[in-house]
Amino acid sequence: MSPITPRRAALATLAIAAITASLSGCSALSGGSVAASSTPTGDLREVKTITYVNPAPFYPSFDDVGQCFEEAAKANGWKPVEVGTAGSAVDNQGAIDLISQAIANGTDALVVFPTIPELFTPVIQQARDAGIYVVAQNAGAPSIGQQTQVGTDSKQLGALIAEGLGATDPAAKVGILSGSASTTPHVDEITGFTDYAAEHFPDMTVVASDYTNGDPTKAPELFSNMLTAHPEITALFPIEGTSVAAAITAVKERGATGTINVVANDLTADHRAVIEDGSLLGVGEQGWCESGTKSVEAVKKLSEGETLPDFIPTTSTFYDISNLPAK
Amino acid sequence: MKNIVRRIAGAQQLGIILIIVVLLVVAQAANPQALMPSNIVEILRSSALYFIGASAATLVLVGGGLDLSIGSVFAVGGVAAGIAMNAGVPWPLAILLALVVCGMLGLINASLITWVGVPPFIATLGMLFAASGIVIVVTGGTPRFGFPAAFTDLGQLNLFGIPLLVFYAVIIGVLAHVVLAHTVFGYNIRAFGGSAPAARANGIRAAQMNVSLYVISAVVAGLCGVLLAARVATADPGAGGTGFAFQVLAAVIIGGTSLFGGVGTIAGTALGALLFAVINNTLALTNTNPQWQNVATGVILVTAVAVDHLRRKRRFAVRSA
Repeated sequence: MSPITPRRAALATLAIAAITASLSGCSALSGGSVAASSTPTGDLREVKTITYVNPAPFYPSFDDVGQCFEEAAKANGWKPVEVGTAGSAVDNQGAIDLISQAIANGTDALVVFPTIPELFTPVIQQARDAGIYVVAQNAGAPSIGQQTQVGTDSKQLGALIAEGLGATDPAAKVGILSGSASTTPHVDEITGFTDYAAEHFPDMTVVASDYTNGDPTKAPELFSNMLTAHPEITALFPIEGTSVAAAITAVKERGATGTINVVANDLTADHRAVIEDGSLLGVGEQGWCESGTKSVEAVKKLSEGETLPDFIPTTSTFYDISNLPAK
Repeated sequence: MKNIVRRIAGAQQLGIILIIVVLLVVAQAANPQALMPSNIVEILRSSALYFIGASAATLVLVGGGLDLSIGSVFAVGGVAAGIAMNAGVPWPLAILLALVVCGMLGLINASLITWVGVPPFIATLGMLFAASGIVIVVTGGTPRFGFPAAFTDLGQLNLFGIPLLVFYAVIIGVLAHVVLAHTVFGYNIRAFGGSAPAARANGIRAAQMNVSLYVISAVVAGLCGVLLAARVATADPGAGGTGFAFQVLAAVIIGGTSLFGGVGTIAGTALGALLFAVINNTLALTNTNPQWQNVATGVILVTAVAVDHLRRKRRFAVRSA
């Protein structure tokens, strides 16, 4: 190998400086993977492409969000792009990667669902720095850089479920199974539930809490253990839709159908069937489709220079056998 | 008598038995429900599906293989049976169809490993992803439900106060034990897992061995999915997954089956599966943060593998001396 002479070193330095200068000139160098076509923050960027990063494509309700998002985007003449992580559990890192890719691909607007908001702050900030409109579908979380939030007020949803349960069992002793201790919508929903119960049903208390950590196969065992450890339980509240069948099974296996009530989220076809047969007392239904439509509306308003409120709520309703809507 | 005591004290599963006993004592001290028959039945029910899956996984591991795909084949089993029943197929035939589909997936695993030369870890990891993706694509993520009562009875009924699931687990466990310990096939599995080249030299056919093991593994994983669908009256496309696969494999390894093949017993696997159920139950009864389950699992798993490694080293040293 030939030695590095002062002349060679000087030439190399010059070449590097030239390349750096030319790249800086065309704005190709910037933080992360920001695309060259990015518009500086502050300008009103024209929307041609809007991307929805679906947090749970495996869950039918999020499919509804995606469909309504696409229809609303097309109605505006925009190109909708829906991406989502693979697998059968929420994958935060995968979602963050998809947001990064969308930024790199030059999307004009992003609709994201930051399950753990703090995790998504850097990538949302990266999108905002690139002049991309960002709407988050995660109500109740602290501001993490998005321009507005659209979706379920999880605390209000929790309150609705407490209200629905309280109408049947005002002194319910409740066991709750949620996804994880850090899933913000679940934490907020539990807070809404307990706050409402404390105010309106002072005898209603949460006596047990546990987590599936994304593994629905464990739910029957967790509920079964919960009922053994707390024989005083009179209501189960599986927050994840995938745990509802397990809660109903645990109650059935104890021969306690009718004694122990089950309340849950989401009016999916399987949940409707068990409400009709009396195994499920009721569900808090979120405005899934509305969430997709209102997210697109929010981007439209942002692109027209409107300032939006921090949070745009969608409608939540508690359904039981008395008000079950037609199929 | 002295011999019996010595054998018990020398048994490699003694540590697990002691941990189970200690956990039950702690649980009983915290909550008088712990040793009630109803709670013991719940512990057995909780461990039943994992033990069924782990029985087949023991055969694969003893035979020197590894099947990570059982997590998603589990979901395939439940969902395939559910789709068939929703389409009007009688439930016994629906179960059969589901098990055939799962068996085909096992055959693909075996073919990749035997004839293409893909390492078991990669072949079955690929199947883990592919099969879970197919289940989600086919169902759109929507659970299947509305099954005949005769089907759900399979997972929900009790006999003499004990869930049928526990009886299935005992039957499959006994079958797996007989196959592994008392048949020529079982002898061949241990020989092949102990030293594949030596086994081949003695006329054991690798292709036949792999096909048998991976098909059995997939069919049994699918059966677990079918039984869970029967128990909860819903076939969830998200059921099983890596959670099921890792817990099953951990139960097998904790039960004393060597990760390097050739050594393992169904009795040890039964204790491994039981241990998980007892840990979960104890944490619930003592109101302990459930996240400790993962800590306990990790510590016990690493300890089990370390003990296996040391045992092998000692044996090797004794043989060399």
